[in-house]
Amino acid sequence: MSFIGHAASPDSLRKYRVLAFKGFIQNLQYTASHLVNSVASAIFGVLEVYFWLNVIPPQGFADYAPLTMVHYITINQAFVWFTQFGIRVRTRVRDAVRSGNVATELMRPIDFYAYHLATEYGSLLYGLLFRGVPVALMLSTLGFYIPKHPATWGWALFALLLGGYIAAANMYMVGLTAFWTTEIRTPYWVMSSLSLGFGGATFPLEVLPDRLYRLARWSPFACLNYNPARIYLELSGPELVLPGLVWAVIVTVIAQALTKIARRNLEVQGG
Amino acid sequence: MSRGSFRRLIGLIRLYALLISAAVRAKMQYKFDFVTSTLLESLMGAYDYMVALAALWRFHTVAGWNIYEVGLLYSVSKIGWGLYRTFLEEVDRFEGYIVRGDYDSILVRPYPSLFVLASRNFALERLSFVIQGAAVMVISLKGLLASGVLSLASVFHLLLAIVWTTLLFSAVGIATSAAAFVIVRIEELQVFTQNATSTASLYPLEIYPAWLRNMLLYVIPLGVGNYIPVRYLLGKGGTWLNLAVPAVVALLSIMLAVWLWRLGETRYHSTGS
Repeated sequence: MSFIGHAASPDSLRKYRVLAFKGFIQNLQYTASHLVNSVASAIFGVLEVYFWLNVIPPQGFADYAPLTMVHYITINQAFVWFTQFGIRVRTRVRDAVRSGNVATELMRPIDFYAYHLATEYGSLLYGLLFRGVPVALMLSTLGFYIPKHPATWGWALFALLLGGYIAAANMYMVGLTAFWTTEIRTPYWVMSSLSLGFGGATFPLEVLPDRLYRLARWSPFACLNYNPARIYLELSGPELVLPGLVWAVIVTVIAQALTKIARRNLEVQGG
Repeated sequence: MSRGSFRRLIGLIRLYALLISAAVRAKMQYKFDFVTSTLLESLMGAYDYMVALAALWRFHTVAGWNIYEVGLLYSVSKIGWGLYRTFLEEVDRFEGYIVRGDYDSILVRPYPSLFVLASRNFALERLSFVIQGAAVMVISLKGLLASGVLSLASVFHLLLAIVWTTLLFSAVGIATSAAAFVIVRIEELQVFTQNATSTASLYPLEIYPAWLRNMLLYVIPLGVGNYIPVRYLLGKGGTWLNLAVPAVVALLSIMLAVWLWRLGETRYHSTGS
């Protein structure tokens, strides 16, 4: 049994690879514009660095000395372009529902969920390379951590890839609500606030009050930024990949189940 | 002001009220959706404040400012931003007019183009920023009035600070949009001139390095609207000039922005052959 319908065969996998590649290259035409945007994004990073340097005590807190805090913020300014910003799958699904094109998409001999996720994943990889990396390079003047152990790169990348997948699946589910409501603004606000607040994109989760910290740490959102950043900064070991694996399976099952329900609920307007 | 100009001004105000009431009626066709999404956005959009709240709950102050004091800065900036977006939403979305060539239809109207743009939309949904800011201001004022840091007279100056901040956001917004006459695409520029700077103005400027502080005071002077008067009102330095300077800078900025807009208009060429 496969969680993603047709995804089991090698031929299908090739299709999803092609879709991801298309998702990647369709962004290439905006590279110059995205590089300009990176300057503004770097400014946000600067604001965060100076805010936190002025807030935390000189001796730091939890595992975070002031310099570690700077490292945490700068690496996450790169990661956010893979796990938080530029995720458009929700609008693609919503627009397909609004225009009625969703009927055609659902008829295609390709899994609806995997089709959208593959396209989004390619686009997110572009975001990481062409938006995240330039921002991190610009912020490296403030401080940038290079892992001491080569294996850390691999584990951090794996955790990040899982985080991007979970983020895209979450936003896919936000898009699915269009099958019932057409307008997805409210679920989007809820999801993006939870992703940012509990994801650790702009601050380590230890800043939160203890109960909220415990809740956030085991939520799927911690897999977006907090877990990959802690692995990258060598504050935690590779075991922090596990929550990402578990949550990736859970969100896939939920997203597929919701897609089935949405398919049954589909009502296309028109004569 | 001559009698003719006065009559024309009254005519413009009447026309504005008529067009805006039509825009509001159109939005109110989906009352429930409007009310729920605005309230939810007010709550969810307060992310920056939630971050500050979490940070200051744990670490108490940022550069000597406590959560109520930071809240005051935050609220003046957020309300100003919200009012700017409510009244000048179409100026903020001006790039689309140039890209699609829709600006032609604005130019053929017998009214100033900025007036026509402003009267095309009254973005009630942007009041979510105002609600957010007002809620934070009430909480902050309660704390600061109770501790005697602020007096009731200060509240009047805070209201004035909101006016100057709104004008400053409008000036920056108009000047940025005027760039669209020349470079067409301004979305990325807006992220830099408006989004990044408005976020920066939510916190005390002394936490930033000198180049950033100077930029927020002299180049894109959004820090002048809230930081300068609030700093004085909280007894953190400055003189009564801290209350006067924002008014002068805001009015000069608006004049400069309108001049840039008019200059940009002379460079406008429509799309197509």
